[in-house]
Amino acid sequence: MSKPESAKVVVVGSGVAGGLVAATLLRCGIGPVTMLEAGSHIPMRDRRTWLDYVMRGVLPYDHLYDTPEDVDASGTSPWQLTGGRLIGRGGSTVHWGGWTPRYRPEDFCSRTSAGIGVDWPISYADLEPYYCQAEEYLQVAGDSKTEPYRSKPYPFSNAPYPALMGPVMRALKDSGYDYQAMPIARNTRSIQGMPACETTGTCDYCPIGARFTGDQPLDRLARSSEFTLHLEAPVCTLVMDKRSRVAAVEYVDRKRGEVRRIEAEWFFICSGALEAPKLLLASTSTYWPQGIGNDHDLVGRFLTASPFVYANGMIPTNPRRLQAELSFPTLCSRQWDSPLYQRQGKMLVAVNYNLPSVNLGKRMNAHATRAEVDAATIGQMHYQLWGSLQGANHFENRVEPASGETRFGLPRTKISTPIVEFDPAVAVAHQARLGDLLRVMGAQDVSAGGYPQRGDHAMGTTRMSRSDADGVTDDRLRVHGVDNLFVASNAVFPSAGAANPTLTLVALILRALEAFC
Amino acid sequence: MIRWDMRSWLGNEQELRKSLHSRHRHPIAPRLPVSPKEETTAFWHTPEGRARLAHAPKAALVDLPTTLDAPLPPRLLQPEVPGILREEDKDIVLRCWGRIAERWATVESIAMTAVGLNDVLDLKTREPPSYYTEYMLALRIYRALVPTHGDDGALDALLTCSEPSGTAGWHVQTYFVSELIFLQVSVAGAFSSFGYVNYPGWTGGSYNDPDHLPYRVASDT
Repeated sequence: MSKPESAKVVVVGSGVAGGLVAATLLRCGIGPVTMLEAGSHIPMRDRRTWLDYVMRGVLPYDHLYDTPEDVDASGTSPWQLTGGRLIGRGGSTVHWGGWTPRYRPEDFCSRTSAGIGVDWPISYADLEPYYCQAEEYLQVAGDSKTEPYRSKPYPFSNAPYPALMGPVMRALKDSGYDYQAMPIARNTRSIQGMPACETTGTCDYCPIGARFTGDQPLDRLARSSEFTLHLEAPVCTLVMDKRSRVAAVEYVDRKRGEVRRIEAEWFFICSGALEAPKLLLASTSTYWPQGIGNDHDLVGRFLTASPFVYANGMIPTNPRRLQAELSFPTLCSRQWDSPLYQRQGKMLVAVNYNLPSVNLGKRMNAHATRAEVDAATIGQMHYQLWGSLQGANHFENRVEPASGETRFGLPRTKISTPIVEFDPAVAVAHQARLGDLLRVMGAQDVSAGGYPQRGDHAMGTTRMSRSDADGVTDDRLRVHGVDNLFVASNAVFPSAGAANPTLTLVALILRALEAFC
Repeated sequence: MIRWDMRSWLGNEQELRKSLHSRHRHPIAPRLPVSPKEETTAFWHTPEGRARLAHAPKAALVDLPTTLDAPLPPRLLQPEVPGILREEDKDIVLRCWGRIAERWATVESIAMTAVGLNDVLDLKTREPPSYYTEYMLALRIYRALVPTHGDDGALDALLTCSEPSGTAGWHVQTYFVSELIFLQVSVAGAFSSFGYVNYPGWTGGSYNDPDHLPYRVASDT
């Protein structure tokens, strides 16, 4: 091993959490910061890369997902991680959709309000000011008149609903259900050097950076002499010099093929709800023989993620030639994301924003004539409704390191989910609700189902608690019993809501970092 | 180490949009003269993106076949060999582009000029993975077909070929014709002839002005 490096702060992971931690600490004069990322560079806002996506459907991060060989999954519905998280510079927000709804007040007290899971050590009211800051940070556009309560309006107003949402809105209204704009991390106007959304409809790879992605803060950080980012640098272990203090991290410099060590005062694990507990569990020592923070066998436990269900339906004709003209969601319904449904399992409803669609290029390449393509544009319309469900946290469901290494140099992942994460009967009932809406829209051939769990929104594996007997981190994300180690990840969520978690994560981090600034 | 500069990309984008929204239609749009280069340009990847090594020695092209059914491995040919198409080569690509528009009656909807198309071709052949060899293959087969099929017939043969994987025809369809069609439908705006207002790949514009929205809005919002 070569001579140790040193920094004031070490951040493990370069995603939305890591970038926020590094940027905030440096702004508060706490540096230098060294960030370690297991994955590699991803070309962003690159015109040739964008053309390859438009002309061929190839994305520059397709090779950065887990493969089936990277995971040992078992349980009632074994997880299939491929496509769920992205290991590269900027992390999973490089591929995310930018959905940024808040958790609702009851999500923070599910034990008290519904008798399930555990209460968070903080309330919605505690987090509300930080939600406002998080919406600023992620450049969220939304409808400020909608619930839950907010003390400040959204930074941007939402995009007007596109025409193809008309039938969905009428069906919701006719059924007596509410809907609202889906909050989205996209620039309605230019901000922080990034331009306004130009509706290129290629949101999986925005050519101009109008959607927040985790690489953008890193680009700004790169201008600072106090910031260093090591790519292809998987962290192996945290080194303790006493039970309450981390002294260093050891990582593999894959470019040089050697193990290196960085000493620092503060350590932030920002590598997601799967890698964060794996690193704690791998960091065994005489001080923490079962892994850091794991005296009560809670690290890696309570794994869950939002189960995702859908319903499909076909509307026979499309005389107005309605077509998906935006590539991001504009509408959601929180009708079933309410206290009334918390005990059985909540659902946030969204609409597949890539449908209905006629892929003109594909048909032309299949040698369809102009008349045949024209006929398709006024033919049947495929609508799909999505339901993001509130996963349940069970002690038995867990993640831990498996034997062997991935191509990123990280330990392979073992995921065990022996307890079902969502009552199948309730999931079927939610699917039926989606199907009923499609029928109100006039859809035929309605079908419904659920997607395999990819762990896109994995959480719960180092959950926050008031004491180490109930969880791994405190309400400021510090690992119980260790003064200088923090987990900034969905891993700290004590229980799940139906909404997407990233906005809540950013708000939690902003709250935790307040103590440093 | 060269960092990709956001400003230069945006500059290009503004130019591209200018050309996208130009009313010049490609069949009559003037072609810009393109200077063929003797040297090629090589690239490699760095943690910060692509870096460029100018004036690398020109690599030899593989011996390319002239028939659609000739065997070729089913993967991008010589992606490491960059190049710039000659003016006469780009002219053939442009004619193929026009033939696609005629075939599906999208001519009046196309808002990409020859300059814009040249820009795309340069990006596809100069930057990795380079399509230079794929384009040269398509052009070589086209030229071999002209004596027996005529100009339009040769283009139609390329547009309608459906050879199986592992043949030159598959390469022409996959890396040449298919990508030109997708480019024309989306970035170049041909989708609008089918009654759509926006489409993936089309730079529709900002939605912050409710009076000039780049997509159709629900009437009962």
